[in-house]
Amino acid sequence: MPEEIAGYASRMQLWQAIGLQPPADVNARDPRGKFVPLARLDDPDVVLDRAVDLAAISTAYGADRETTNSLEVSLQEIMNNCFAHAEIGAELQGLACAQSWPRGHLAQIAIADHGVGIRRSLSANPDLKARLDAGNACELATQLGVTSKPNMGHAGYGLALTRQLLAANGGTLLVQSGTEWFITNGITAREGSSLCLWPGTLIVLEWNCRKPLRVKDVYQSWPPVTGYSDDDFEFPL
Amino acid sequence: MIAQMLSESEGIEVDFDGHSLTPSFADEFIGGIAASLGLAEFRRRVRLKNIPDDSVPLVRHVLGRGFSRSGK
Repeated sequence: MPEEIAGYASRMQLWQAIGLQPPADVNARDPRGKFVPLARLDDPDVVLDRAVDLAAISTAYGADRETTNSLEVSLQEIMNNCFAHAEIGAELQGLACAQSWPRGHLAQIAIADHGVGIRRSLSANPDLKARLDAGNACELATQLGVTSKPNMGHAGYGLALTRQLLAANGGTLLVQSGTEWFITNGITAREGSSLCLWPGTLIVLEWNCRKPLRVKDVYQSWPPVTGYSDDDFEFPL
Repeated sequence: MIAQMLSESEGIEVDFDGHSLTPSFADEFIGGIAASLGLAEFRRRVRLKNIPDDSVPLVRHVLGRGFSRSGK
């Protein structure tokens, strides 16, 4: 690993997260809310706690409760995918971390697993074959309703929610899986194949700290279900 | 567990205590009950309490999907 990256990796506790001794001693720096070191995803029961810890990066710069909440919801969806779809037999399912740049008004959260990857996972749904043959699997995975396991408790919400959440904020979503990648900021989108292989799935959320994140607005933008009117839902919730 | 409660009780009340829901959980849990009962029975037998404001449109969405799946 290049020296200029090794120091940062040590500070983010990369080696400890994967159960190894760090190659160099780096003085532990107080995160002061500016970063969250790499955390292991090795048990579905830790997903909520991990989501709360990562989303706390937003409270450090003064985000409102709705923004933090929206992040927590999005992160739970993504991290649960590591357990539900990555098909990893090992104890360590994935890693996640967060970083903010206060002067740049940006924050990022990265979640990575070393599972089977999006294309192979979505291939389990025969209804997606034509779309997979024609296009980029990472972009497809961010579309509402796309899932490898329809009618099995998975409705394809997670990445679609995240994509729309960030788009409304002016943020950016990056998805890489295998050699395929997809990146969008809600206005422009690019996709392609990389020479750099990620054997699993890597998702990076980047958002503008000066603007809110609102899951409620995303939900309200989803197509209404036909055959029912608002009156049908006007009972006490 | 919910299915058992529905089979044993005429009505059930689910209190979310103000906790936000993830779409996947809402779809599987609330949408699942809706799909099982259909609109009329759901209105008659199920009460959802303390759903936070940011989750209300999500609940409407998954209820609609559930009722659609039920065909009732």
